Amino acid sequence: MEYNLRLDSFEGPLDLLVHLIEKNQLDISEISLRKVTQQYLDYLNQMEEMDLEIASEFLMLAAELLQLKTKTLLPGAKKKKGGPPPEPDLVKRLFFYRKVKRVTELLKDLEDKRITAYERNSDHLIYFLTRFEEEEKQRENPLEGIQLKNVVSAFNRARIDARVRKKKEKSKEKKWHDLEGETFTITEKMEEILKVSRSFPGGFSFKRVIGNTENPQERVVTFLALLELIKRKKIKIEKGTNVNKLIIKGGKEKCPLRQT
Amino acid sequence: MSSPANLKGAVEALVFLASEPINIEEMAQALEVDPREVFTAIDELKQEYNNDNNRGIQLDELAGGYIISTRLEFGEFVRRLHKPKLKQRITQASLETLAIIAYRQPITRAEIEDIRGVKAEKALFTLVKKGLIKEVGRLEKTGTPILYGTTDEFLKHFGLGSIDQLPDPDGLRGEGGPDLRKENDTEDLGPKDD
Repeated sequence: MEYNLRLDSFEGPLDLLVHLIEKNQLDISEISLRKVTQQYLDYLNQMEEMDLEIASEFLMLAAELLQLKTKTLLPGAKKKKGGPPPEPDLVKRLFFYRKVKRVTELLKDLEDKRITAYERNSDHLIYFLTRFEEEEKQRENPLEGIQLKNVVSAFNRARIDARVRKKKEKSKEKKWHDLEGETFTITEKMEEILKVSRSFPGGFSFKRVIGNTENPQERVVTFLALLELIKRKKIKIEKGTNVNKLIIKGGKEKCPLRQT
Repeated sequence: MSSPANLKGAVEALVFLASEPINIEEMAQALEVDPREVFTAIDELKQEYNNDNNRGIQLDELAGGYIISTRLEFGEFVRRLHKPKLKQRITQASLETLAIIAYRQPITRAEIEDIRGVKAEKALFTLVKKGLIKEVGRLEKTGTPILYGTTDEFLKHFGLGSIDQLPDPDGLRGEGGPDLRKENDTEDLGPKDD
């Protein structure tokens, strides 16, 4: 774990290698590369859990280091045709990389010297112009003091309320239908029929009464009213000329309907 | 149209309102004077501003032009009131890539990656997006890879008047450097070379 944290701070395998060489107080050379190879490999062993792409770059360099080391071990490699052996490519790269690191630090210093120097720019001006407006808006925050949890619980409450209300409305609807039924009361219909019968002393057709109804409910109520009137002997039913025709005739007595 | 009686004051007015570095030629044209006169005026102004520690602003040469900015030490207070668009620091990974480009431009991605030993795609993308680097051409080579170079924004970010003002203690800009592609071709592969 500790190693991973340390590895994260290296920009790459060259960075790590430069670090190892400097840590061992060595100069960049082929010999020092051989010396730090084992340390480098030790680091790689700690990298098993690292990102694969990074690891592959580190592995490539490990292969290079091992190749360098191998060359010195193989008998044929030691004898070069006259003169000192040429510096390995890796040594040149490390020298160059170290210079890059140095100028990177210089750039960082330059950045530090400029980072908090602000130039006038349109962003500033626009900000300046709209600042008071924004402050005003902030002052009238319509959600001031309200937290997300308040909003959530309010929403939930509203949802429950809505569900309850819907249920209530449903039951109310039912009641309303019942009330509608009540709008056609038998008493009402009885009075209506009697009124008609008074207007038609000679009697009137059953169809005249039932035919005027607008819905089955009214029809049923009217029919019940008729039956009630018959029962109370307020009207009589007679068969008409046509077999299917019933004639209703009003009773002679005039007595109040609502006596019971 | 005429030239101002007080040239220094006029130059100061022009620089004062500029939101981007304003160059001497532009000012000379507007003031109808010789660019050298503008240069003298601005140089005097620069001395006045930057040598007076009681001032809250400074005048610098940035990216080939001149610009007035708040002084570094007052940055914190400026931020409190004006909340300027904060300049973002460049991350270490991007900074290294940027350094390579700044000192070795124009340069291709492959060359940057050879120097760093790691992929540079992400860093390049970030730097291009921030306007610190740009494509400056194509290398006439297989695949005609993009050549990257720094921008004026880069100079502004690091407070430089021109790319020549980059500090270069190791002579990195002029140096040949490891021509890696070439060396890879003739790489010493060990004993079999004998």
